[in-house]
Amino acid sequence: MNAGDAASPSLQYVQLLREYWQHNGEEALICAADLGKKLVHAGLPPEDIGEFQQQALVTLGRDLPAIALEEVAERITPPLIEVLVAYGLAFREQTELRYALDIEKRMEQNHKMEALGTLSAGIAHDFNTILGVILGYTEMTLDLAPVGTPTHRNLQHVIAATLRARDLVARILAFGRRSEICKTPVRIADSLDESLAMLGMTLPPSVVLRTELVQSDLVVLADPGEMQQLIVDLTINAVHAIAERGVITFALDTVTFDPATQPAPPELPPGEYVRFRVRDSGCGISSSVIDRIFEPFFTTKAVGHGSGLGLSVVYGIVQRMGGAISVKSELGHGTEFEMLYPRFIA
Amino acid sequence: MAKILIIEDDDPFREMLAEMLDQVGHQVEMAANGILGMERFRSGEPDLVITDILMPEKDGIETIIEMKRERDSIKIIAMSGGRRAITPQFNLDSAALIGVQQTLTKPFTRQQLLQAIEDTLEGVAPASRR
Repeated sequence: MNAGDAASPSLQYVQLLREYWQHNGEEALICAADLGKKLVHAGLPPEDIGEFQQQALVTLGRDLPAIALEEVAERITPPLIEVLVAYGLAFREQTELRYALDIEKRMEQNHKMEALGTLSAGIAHDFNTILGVILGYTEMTLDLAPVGTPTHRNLQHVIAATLRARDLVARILAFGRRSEICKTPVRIADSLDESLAMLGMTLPPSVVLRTELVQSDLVVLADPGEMQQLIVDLTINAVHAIAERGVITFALDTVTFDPATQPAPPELPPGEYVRFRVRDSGCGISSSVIDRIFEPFFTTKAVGHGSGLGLSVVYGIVQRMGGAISVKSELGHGTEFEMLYPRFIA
Repeated sequence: MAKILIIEDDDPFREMLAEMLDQVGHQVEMAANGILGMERFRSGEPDLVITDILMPEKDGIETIIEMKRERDSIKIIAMSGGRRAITPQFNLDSAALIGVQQTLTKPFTRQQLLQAIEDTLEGVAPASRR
């Protein structure tokens, strides 16, 4: 449905209401209600439905200024309520449908991640053995090359690359593993302190790591090693986003979801959550790739500048903690990752 | 120098290990799976066995248990690269429970391998080498 079609149901409404008002025709009133039902079935986005409603009322007011008079208003009230109910119903149905589709999309994403995790861990074993062969023969060949010769140097590069590949495989295994994770109460502010202290030593001074709103008493159930890995991976991702120059901000507070006041995101039950946000002042993520950033091996970085595993590992860790992660980004203005973990209270 | 039996199903990896140990003067025998490994173990009477954990036919754990049953004093180094949802450490921990002296996670450096062999032969306290 496009904007051109959008005017017609609205104008039809106005026409029918005008007819009802001018000729007191009951039939026109029934037609108006039917039109509302049609809108429900047409599957228009809620925004369009809201716009039709407003358009219909504005047009009606302009065409028939008399409806503002009290005696006229009395007559026009029943059909107007009819309009409101029909539009309201269409709006609600479409909103609910959108919500259901959103859940389905997230579930699909979870299954995809799980399958990829199993697959990559399976490959990892054979890959480790192959790396072992490369490493072994290279080390033996290195003995034959006199120190200082190009052959010797080249072989040293092969060994360094093999060790890098080994670390990458270890990360793939970390992504795939499920059952060995040891969840224990973790004070998230402590994990943050330790990780930032470690990162602070390795990052260039042009990267400023800043914390705000850090509530120090918040505890979550997590694997402590995984928690640190999550913070490190998100920070490294942010460091790349700001091209090693700028500010990365970490915030830690709580949020309570209640169906009546503040509904939880689709995948989370209501309750109290620890909210952890990591924000950078970097280049931002374009809307065309934002849906894919948590996929394993998806990266926008140049070859050799990132494995594309970091955010997928983060996603896996958040899932295992029973939490949720979302991302907001604006090109040229930066990105914010928001994670929600169930708060653990002993 | 020691008499070492290597049990490993991956041909290139097994050949590489054999060559590496041969170069430093060990006497090496090889087997491509647990069944063949048991045959070589009985006929060759090695001082030390280096075995993979995940192998078809008969896996490393089963082979180790059987060797230990026949000769409790046999010294064993177990190695693994991990598979599917099982981390390398999971397998190697299981191996330690059945009396393996040293463990190695693939890929390992020559230095790590030779150190593990030396420690095992000298009876240095069992360690989980990662």
